[in-house]
Amino acid sequence: MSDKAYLKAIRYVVLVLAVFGLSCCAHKLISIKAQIPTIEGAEYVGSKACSDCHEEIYSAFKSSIHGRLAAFEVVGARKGCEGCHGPGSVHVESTEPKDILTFKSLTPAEKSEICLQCHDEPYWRTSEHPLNGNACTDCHKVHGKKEEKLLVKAEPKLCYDCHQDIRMKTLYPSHHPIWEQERTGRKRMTCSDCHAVHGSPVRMLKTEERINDLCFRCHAGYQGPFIYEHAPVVENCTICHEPHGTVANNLLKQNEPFICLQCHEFHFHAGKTSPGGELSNATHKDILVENAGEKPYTGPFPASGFRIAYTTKCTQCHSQIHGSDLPSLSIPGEGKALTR
Amino acid sequence: MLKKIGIFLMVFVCALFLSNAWAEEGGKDVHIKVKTGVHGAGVDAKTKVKVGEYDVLDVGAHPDFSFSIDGRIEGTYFSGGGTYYEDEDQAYHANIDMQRYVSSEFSYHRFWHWLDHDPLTNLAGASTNNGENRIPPLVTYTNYEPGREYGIMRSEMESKTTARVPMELPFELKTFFNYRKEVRRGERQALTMGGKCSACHVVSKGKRVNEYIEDYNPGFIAKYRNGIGRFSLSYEYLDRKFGENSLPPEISYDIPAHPGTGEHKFDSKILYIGKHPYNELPRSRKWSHKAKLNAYFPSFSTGLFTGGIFSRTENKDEDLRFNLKSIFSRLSNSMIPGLALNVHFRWLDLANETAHKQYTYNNKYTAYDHKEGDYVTREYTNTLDYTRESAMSRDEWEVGFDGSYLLMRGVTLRGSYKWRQINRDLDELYTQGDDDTEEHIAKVGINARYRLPFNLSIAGKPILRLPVMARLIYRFESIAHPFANVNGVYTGERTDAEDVLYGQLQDWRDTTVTNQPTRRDDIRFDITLPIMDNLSLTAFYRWEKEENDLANGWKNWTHMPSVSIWYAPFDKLNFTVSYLYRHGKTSTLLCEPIYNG
Repeated sequence: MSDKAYLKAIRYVVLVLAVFGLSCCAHKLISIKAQIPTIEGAEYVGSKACSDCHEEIYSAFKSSIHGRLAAFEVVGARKGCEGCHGPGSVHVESTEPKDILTFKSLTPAEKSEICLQCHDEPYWRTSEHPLNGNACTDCHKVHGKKEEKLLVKAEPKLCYDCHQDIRMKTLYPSHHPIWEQERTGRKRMTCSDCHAVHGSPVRMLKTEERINDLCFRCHAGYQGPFIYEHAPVVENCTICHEPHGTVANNLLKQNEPFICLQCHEFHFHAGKTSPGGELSNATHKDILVENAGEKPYTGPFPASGFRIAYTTKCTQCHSQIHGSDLPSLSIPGEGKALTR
Repeated sequence: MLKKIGIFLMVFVCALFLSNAWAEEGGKDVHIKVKTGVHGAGVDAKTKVKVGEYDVLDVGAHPDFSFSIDGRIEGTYFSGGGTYYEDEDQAYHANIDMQRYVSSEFSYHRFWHWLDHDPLTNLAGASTNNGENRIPPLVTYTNYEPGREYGIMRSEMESKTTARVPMELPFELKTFFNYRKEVRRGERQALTMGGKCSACHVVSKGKRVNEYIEDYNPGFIAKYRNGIGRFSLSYEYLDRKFGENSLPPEISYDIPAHPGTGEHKFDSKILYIGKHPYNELPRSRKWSHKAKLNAYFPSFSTGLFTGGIFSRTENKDEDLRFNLKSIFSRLSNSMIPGLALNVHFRWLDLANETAHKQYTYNNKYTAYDHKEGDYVTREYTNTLDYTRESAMSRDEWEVGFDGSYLLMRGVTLRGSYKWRQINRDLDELYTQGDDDTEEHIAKVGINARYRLPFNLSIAGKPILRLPVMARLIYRFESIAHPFANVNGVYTGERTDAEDVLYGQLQDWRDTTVTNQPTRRDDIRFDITLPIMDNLSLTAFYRWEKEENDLANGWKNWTHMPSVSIWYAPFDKLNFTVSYLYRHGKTSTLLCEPIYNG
């Protein structure tokens, strides 16, 4: 950690805290408002009172995960219908929906705040879904069990209601088996295998380390550390790969060799035709001159050279592109050519 | 086939008997459901296309069945189910909840994944013709298993057990133990290059795969609530092992031979000869400690969260390791009605050990000597010292804030800003401009849910009764000194290089290249029109532009409009028709060096 970075970080912390503070001041903190509304004069009456009128909902609820909660796992909070809907005495008397917390009448933030009383989701308030106006109940159905994790619809279809662009990517020729789960309903892979839908410090992903550490959950063979490493592999898998799906094979952002040629040059022989037959004393330059018909430094690249270059896949030779402990064959390459 | 039908009938009969037996006993409530069917495939693996990449594809009709069970015996609730589709395509799960003292989930599934078999024939396509004869390509290949289908069976078994302290403590305490095992079995293509220079020779063989990843993940969560706030403390440990039980393939690495005559005429410059393994993944282990502390104060609508992680990843075959340390913290506030504000901070430190390797090589070879003007045989012994300093080692700092403001009912304005700095130990090799990578990311967006203030109908049927949803987001990133291959290519001309080695020429590379932008603009827009309760139309558009002026005009842009129509004529039948158009273009510097070496 350099002093420069440290000072810069401190500066930014101070800056964002100042912005945070000023924003609060700008709105004149007149009243401190609790997130969850309250029903004036209401007291807790117990779930039995609810079942008198809402029998069908109650019978499904009592065998659901929320209905089965034990007192020792909600210490300091209330379980049963009133755990979420608030004290029900006024509603029992009046039977008016306005006299109890009904989720239809609450804002997304208020709905979520009710769930967060028990569900410890530290990233939720700072994550993309609530910032885009989503509430827990947009994805979860609390009364009774419909799908796994009380989802209103099975993954990945649920996610596609909003993330249509991602669905399209899962239909590209190279993809993780998400489309197969959508198509067949049989277990393959879904969005929440990688994504922390309730928030995360790393791009809504199920890791608190790096993006790579998420990939290594299933692709642990590439976590190394290797003697011979490929710098972008240890930097970030997404430099070369687009995990949702691609046209190029192996989830590569572009086809080989073009993905590689953005950071590397061709080998000297990539556009060079074979001398054929007996090896002459001609040097590479001579052969290129012969092929190109004029000076190689300025002249056109021979058509055959382009064919050779662009039909080569780098990983056919550099097959251990993710890293290896075994040295490649060549001495000038110092064993680090990732061919073995 | 008979075996499958036999198993199916046994399960069916057992389920029937169990169902009857349980149903007859009082105080118990058990439901069992069994579904059967037959499926068929018209194409097999040999004619597979990408669409069948994750399917078994066995021609013919095959029985399949699934079952589910759920119920209660006294205070114990349980559920389970499974699907048998093919031998290599099955899934099972079970849950048990013992009066909330202990609850456990178990799941197992496996599926088949067809893997590519690169025929390598494109390398033959690199041959040329001089008008009279076909001239062989410089890179030759041998595919030892042409036509062989490669694939793996991927399975994953997970179990999650939670135990709660059944006492009226002032706080909640639960411990958990999670276990996961992932296995890949089968065969995949393994390539290596068995020569160098003019005798480049790519070899393909099948590699037996028997990999496993095993995770042990115990931990605890404690929660406390009082009039001031809600607090939670959690800790978890992860131990992950990766191993490969199959032996790697082997090939003989020989002195390079002339592709036309087969003679040993080249300066070999190779580290080893003889039979050696290749395509070997080392055994590795990762362990981590993670702790989190979360506090929320409802009276102030303010939450504070902080956490830390320390992990070590070890290569068990080579005794190499790297450490990761990270601290992250978040402060959220929604005191002001309609306004949510968050601030976050993150620090990460990665330290990968430097690796050293020494090789002694002893070569006897015949090579053409330009000075002698003839082929000469030489013998020599030497050592190669290799030191790898890792591109991984760095520390990162990240600070940001984001917020959303409810402009009016249904319309939310949101914005965020993030600053991140990456200080790599090897800035001079992997950072454009040899300085810390610095990112500034800003995002603004607006979300709207608009309900028509009047009623519309067509032929008596109400339309646009549900709110129209629209979202527009603009994201801007400015990145100074992004990750790059410093001096990755040579641009220019030198004429002072006669008879130098290729390795020496690499030192001339003078231009930094990368596919990482210094500026990124991203606009997304989507709108959903719920025309009727069972018919909706969604339009989506995304435009993204990335550019790096310093990397010789590297540019990448994409635009992606799409439209989808969803129609559900009945409760259990719905159709989705989507069309997406994607147009992307990447411009980059392309370097083809011409060496006289």
